[in-house]
Amino acid sequence: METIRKIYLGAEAEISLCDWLGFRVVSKRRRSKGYRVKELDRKIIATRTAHEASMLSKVRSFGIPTPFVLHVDPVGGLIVMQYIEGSTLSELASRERLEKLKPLFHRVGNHLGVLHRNKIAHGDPTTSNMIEMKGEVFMVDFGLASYASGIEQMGEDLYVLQMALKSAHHAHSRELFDSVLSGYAEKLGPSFPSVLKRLEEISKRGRYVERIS
Amino acid sequence: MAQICLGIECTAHTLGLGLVDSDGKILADVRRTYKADSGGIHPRESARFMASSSGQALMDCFEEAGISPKEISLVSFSQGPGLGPCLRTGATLARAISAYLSVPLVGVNHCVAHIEVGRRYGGASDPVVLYVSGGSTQVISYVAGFYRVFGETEDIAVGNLLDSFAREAGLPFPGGPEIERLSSSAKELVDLPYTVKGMNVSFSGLLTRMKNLIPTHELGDLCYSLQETAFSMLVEVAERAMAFLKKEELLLVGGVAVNKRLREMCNMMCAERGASFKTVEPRLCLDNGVMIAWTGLLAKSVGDETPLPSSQVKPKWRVDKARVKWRKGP
Repeated sequence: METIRKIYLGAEAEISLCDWLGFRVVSKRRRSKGYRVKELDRKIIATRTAHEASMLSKVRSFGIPTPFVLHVDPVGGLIVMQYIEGSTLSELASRERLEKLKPLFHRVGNHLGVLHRNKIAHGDPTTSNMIEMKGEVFMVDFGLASYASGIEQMGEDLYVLQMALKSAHHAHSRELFDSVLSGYAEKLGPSFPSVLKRLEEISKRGRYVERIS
Repeated sequence: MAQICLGIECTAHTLGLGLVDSDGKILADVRRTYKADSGGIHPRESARFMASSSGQALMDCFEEAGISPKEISLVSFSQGPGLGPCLRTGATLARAISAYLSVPLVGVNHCVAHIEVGRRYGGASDPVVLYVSGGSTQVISYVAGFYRVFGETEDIAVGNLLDSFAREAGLPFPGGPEIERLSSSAKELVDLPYTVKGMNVSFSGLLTRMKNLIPTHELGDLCYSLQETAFSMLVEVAERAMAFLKKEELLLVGGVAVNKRLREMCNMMCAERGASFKTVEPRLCLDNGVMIAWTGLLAKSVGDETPLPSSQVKPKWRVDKARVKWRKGP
């Protein structure tokens, strides 16, 4: 596998655009941490890699667009997946008009609603983890996703997204989040009011903070 | 002329009296620590201990500094968070001294004081702070007027985890040093729950598992595995906060910061990121009066005082609710 360019370097993993057997792919490689003892380091990297890869496929079975997983090497901390060639919603939100953005964020709401109805929380649904390609919104980075999510995890997902909108896309954050909520309510069903109520509670907790943009 | 502040720390088990001048010179650092006969801290007993030892401790403090009480220009005290009875004892002492000497009173947030002593004596400027003690486990950083909490424990603090396990295993209080000592005899890593959620951690499942393993496992192996697992979780969330905030400096403070292995792990994480690691000498990591005195001076330097009517203690005063006027910028 040949690296074409690095896309992002996070605290945990490195994302690159690569050539793999003639395909243009994205690789996500979790890096080994020197501060962890070897046994623990191997365990964490292997379980998270396997978990994320299975989540990407699982979530697609509910109809949420995610990149296809082409290859997984849990021991090496590597996931090779389809390259979604598009712009992140974070990029789009800072350059596109509101009318064009609204349906995309409505779609994001749909996706989150389906996820939550199936008892899965994304864990980090910021606008950088959503990619628009040909009118469809792909969800990426399921590294923090979890099963058996209750109202709290659902509320946290919405809160993370709301905060991301407020900090990075201040001008339209309210309208965009309203679009998210309308799409979300469509798919989630009867638990919507209780999630909304929890979202309000979470916003009042001190530990969650408005980022200054 | 340099101002001298008397700082009074009294949030849990340590009565700390510190004398510091406005250049940061430490003139005295006196401590009296309550030890429970059995079990954890009994708040009322701890408060009683503080009240009865405060007179002599105060005299020792001024003798150590070689100054007269009349030379101080300020009294500061930890106003919260902490155990109500202990806080009230310290606050009463502070009010009495302030009234008797006619010097201003300043209420200080205990967590902010840990951070400020780390910045002053550890040489950190704008760090991500990993604050780990018996009562707190938080990842904190300064943003626009407040020390904001970006991650924290969802249940018990890491120091509480260590102390509770130590007590179950028959080790003395505080548990940290003994657990650290026994770790060196370990032969293998025991598989334990590792619970990180974004920038938060959770330790209660880990504690339950540890308690259940005591009868069947070597104590050394358990201590070692506990340290490695819990500390890896802490370092991971600290690193995530550094990446998120794009800050290149980590400051480790609080009682658990005396642990050598935790220091080493923080240092390695920072080295791998090209960031710098800061902490203070073990003595200043533990609860002490110096940090309260120094933070009192910082508050006073921007005109902050706590008039008597608003000097009531705040047992649940979160660090992110304490205004930090002496720091500027975003």
